[in-house]
Amino acid sequence: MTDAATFEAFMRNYQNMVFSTSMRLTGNIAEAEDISQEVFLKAYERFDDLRENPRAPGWLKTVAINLSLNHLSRHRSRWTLFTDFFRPEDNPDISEPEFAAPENIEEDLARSERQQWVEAALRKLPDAQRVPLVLYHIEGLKYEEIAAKLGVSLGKVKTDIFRARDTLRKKLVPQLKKDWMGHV
Amino acid sequence: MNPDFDDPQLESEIDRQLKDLPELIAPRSLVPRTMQLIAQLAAVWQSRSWSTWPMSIRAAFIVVSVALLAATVPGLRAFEQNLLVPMFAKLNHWGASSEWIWNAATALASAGTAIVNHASKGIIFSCVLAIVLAYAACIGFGTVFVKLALSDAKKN
Repeated sequence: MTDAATFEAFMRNYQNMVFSTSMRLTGNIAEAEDISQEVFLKAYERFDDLRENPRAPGWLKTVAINLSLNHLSRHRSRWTLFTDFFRPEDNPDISEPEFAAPENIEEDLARSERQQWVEAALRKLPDAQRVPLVLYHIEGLKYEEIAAKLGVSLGKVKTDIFRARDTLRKKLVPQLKKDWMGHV
Repeated sequence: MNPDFDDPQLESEIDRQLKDLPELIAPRSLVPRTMQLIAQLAAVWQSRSWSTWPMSIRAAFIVVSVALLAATVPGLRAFEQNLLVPMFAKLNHWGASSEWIWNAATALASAGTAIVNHASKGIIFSCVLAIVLAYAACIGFGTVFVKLALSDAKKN
């Protein structure tokens, strides 16, 4: 295989992971695609190091996170100013991303439907809530690491994550109360 | 931490729901557009300044340049002996025999003078006028066609 063909195979292998990371952080398909492209351009520059490296997925994920955060802080600057003024209908990107099909065809449809509700609710969160929530629950970062990455105080990170959980709960309970959170 | 924020059940439930999310499918255009960009970037290195070329290509360039220079010095002598000297000899020969060109030009000029002397002034004036009109028509039509072409291009 040529270098280009090898890199294309590498890219196809990791494109969903990179796209999911940037999509969940930016909440916008077009921006996530641009960021994913940038991630793979950087990967191409270091492909000699990455092609056989077991740490390549981790490297790609870290770069995707950092580029997404750079993009958000550079183009939106909503972290501190717009937290309380965000309206979900302001989000200009109304198209929905595609979901990976369940591995087992007979896997219950309720789960797939629930995942779509969660994904949609996540996308409607304001940046200031969605980003720390994704970094904490999906990317597995600690509060301190999130605060350092976002350049905000630890207290703000905790507050935003709490608000995000609460917002998610309010959005999801009407649809999901049969499945979960019977206590609410 | 504000104790009001502690809700372990909510936290674990949200955590479970978010970790259960499958990977999203990347747009189909991502791979082709990235590969196209990579091909473009790879193709333009030679149009950038030499200092920004890839290191391997710079090294290859130096090696090839030195090899070409080394081959050129002895090659120049052979070139001079085998090609330049015979070529200049032929040019000198042609120069000596190029007198016929001057003779032909002189004959044509004489013929033109004879025509002007024997033809009436009306015919000469008509010919000059026809040439001037033809030239003006060429310029006029050319200008009109160019303007039409440019206006169509702007509309498109």
